[in-house]
Amino acid sequence: MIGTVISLLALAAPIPGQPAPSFTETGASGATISLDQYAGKTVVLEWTNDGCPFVKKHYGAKNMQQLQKRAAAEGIVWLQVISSAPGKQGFVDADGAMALNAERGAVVADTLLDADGSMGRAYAAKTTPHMFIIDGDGVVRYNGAIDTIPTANADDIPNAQNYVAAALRDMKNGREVVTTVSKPYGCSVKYADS
Amino acid sequence: MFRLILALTAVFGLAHAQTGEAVRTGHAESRLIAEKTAAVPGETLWVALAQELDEGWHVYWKNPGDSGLPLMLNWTLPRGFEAGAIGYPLPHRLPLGPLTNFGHEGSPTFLVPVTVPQDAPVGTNAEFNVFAEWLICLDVCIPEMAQLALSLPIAEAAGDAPGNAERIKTARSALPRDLGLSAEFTDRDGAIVVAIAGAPEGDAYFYPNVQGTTEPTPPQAALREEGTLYLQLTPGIDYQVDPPTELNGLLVLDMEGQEIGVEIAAARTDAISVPGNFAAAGADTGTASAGAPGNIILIFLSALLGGVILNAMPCVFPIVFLKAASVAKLGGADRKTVQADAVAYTAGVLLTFAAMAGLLLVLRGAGAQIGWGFHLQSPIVVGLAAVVVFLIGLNLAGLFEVGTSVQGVGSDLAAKGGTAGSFFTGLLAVFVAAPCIGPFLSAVIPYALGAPAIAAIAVFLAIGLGLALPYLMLAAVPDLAAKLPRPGPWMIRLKQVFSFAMFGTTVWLAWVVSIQAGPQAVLILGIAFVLSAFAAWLFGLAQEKGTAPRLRFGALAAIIGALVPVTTLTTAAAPTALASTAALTKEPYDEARLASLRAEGTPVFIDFTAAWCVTCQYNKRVVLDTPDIQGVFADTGTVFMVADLTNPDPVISAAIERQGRSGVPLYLYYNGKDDPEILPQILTPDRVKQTLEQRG
Repeated sequence: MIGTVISLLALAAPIPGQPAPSFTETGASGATISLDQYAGKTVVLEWTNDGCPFVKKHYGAKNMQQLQKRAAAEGIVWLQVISSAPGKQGFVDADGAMALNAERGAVVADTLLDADGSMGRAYAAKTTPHMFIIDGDGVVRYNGAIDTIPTANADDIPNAQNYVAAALRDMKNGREVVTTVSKPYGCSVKYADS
Repeated sequence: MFRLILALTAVFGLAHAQTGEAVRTGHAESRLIAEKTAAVPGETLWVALAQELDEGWHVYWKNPGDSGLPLMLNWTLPRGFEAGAIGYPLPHRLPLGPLTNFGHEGSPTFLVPVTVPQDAPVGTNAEFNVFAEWLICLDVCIPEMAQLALSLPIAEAAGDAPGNAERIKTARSALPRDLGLSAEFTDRDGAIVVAIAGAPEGDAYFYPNVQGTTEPTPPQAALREEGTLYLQLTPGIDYQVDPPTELNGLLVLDMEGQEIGVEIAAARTDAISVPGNFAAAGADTGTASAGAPGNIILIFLSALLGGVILNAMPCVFPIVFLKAASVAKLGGADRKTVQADAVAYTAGVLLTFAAMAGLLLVLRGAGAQIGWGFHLQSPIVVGLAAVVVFLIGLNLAGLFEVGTSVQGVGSDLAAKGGTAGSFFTGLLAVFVAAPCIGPFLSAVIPYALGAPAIAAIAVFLAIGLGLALPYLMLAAVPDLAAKLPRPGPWMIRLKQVFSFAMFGTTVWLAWVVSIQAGPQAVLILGIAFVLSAFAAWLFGLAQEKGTAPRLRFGALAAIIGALVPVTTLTTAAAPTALASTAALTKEPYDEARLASLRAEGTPVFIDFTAAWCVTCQYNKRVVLDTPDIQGVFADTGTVFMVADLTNPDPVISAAIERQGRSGVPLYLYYNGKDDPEILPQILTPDRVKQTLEQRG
């Protein structure tokens, strides 16, 4: 019962306009990554699971990689997060994560290995993909889906509006983000059974 | 010959047209089915996507919860045909670590009403095509899709499609209902509190229509006060970012495993006075407080007393006569015999109660929508009971003897035979008494059905003990048995008189079968009576002649010949709802109609009844169908609805349980939106008049 209460409290979703939950996780590169070290920079968090058909949709069509490259070119920090528990779909070790990104041509600052799900719970990450944008002041600016068409079909990508691209564009131009919250779609994050 | 084959092929083909070809995807089998055999111009045809999901896999409700996607249907229909919105089955919570989804497992049926245009060309075929996409998950998720087709003739008239009609009707009866409940919500200490006035009983969970409105995982604390249900919800991210002015969703109420869905549209208000301390209520989301220890003793006492009263209910009378006949034999018998007889009878009663209660609990645990007395919903059981009661009548009339003869009372052999007979009488008493739930029992049985299995069976046993108590007293108090008159020739006359009570019961049971299974069944039953009478006569002859194995074999063959056809009885497709000879039009029970009548303030009287319920028939003949009372109905403009439980009906069973009852008779009087008035189980003309005329 106490465990349930704690996990529920932990699942209070970060709302745009409010400070992002801080985190310290080990990256696939071996480095220890915390939110604080990116003060002044925009950070994109991407929850991922390579076995999930919705993740495959965006990587298979190179949609995710293109977005990552554009972000990197603008000095934005892109972090993947894997909250799959050991034995569950999407769980990989550091080498596995590096190999996957090399194979897919993903361009990320690092991949956070959140096997105990603590960071996922802190952000109330629900699906893969589930996207967050945090500005240089550590404030959440976007929480939700990658785009507007919730399917696993790559043919839908050209017709969809990409929420993340739109929010980053708004932030770059000093405007308010139009859509700050959307419904994330994809596979459920494969947390450890609580 | 060729034309015959052609015709047969056409018929065969037609018979299967209402079911589209099944498409197997990775973890599901899907097909389109239609309720009717044809599309009728100007009518709405119910079709459905029927899925069989692999064990453990689930698909999603329209609000999938934390993750997941709802079903997408993209229709291609003939010109003028229009498909309506998807009618989802009631959702369930599917926990996945700290996440929770709303979805469906097993064999979900997704309903779609299709409007058939007036000018649809009769004689041609309508082709229904749909591209269906869904996400199916175990813990891993797989998007699946299928192109499904269904071809249906367009005709002036259509019948029920075998198999499909049942599945679609069951799914339709489970669709959320709009009961016109008024609901409001407000924010309180970071939570949403919804107040729903007049919510039916049951464990409640609120599923918002839109994803992200509430967090699906936290439990929803529930509190009931003065007829209003208060639910505490955890706001989801969309709610927090953009607090809505309306909160729309589905309230699912679980009452002992039976679920109903009620549509809720709550308006934001600042004026809800949220009762008491919700934190305390949060620990107990249950509704009943029946678990308190003081209450349990009271419930057992009520059960015992109810059991005693059961002896005086009309439907146990025949058995009481039977028991009286055997008690009469005991006059002057030694105490040991009397005691053995009482104990055997009690054992018969208790064992049957335990067996029936156990079966009831097991079946309900498996999801069957049944209440006490359910066994009489089977025409086979009623038919067999009719034959058994008929045989008892023949036995009392003297055509044959069971085990012993009257003269032998007192001998050891007779005591043994009498004991077995008493056990059997006890068994029969419970069997027949089951549908006659006395006023005490109606309060106790719903408790028993909701209680842990052991407590439930204990309550049923207390009822049984009550039923047997008068005879146990006979054994316990020595002087009582001694006061019984001495046996003599008068007993044979008495038994013969009692045999007519048995024949009367036989007529009643045959009438029940006629309503359940139609005229053909009465014919089968009639033949069974003749054959069993023949068997009884042969058996009696054999008893006269000593052993006579050939006669006994003949008797056995005849009784088997009598009983076997009875086991083939099935409920008729369309039971006539207790057709009334009275002038007043009675409407069949319809919850949508009831809701609209209540909304417009028209008074409604509902007669929950069944052919196998003797008390119901008594009330109908003596009170409800009299010209006097019919006149009062007409004068007050009260709508008379009949909810007929002669054959199983999940909707009616659920409605009865919402009133805290588990059986018929039940009489409800609705006057507008107020809670219904529950009338007594034994009606009097004055009581009904008083209720109907209170208005205005």
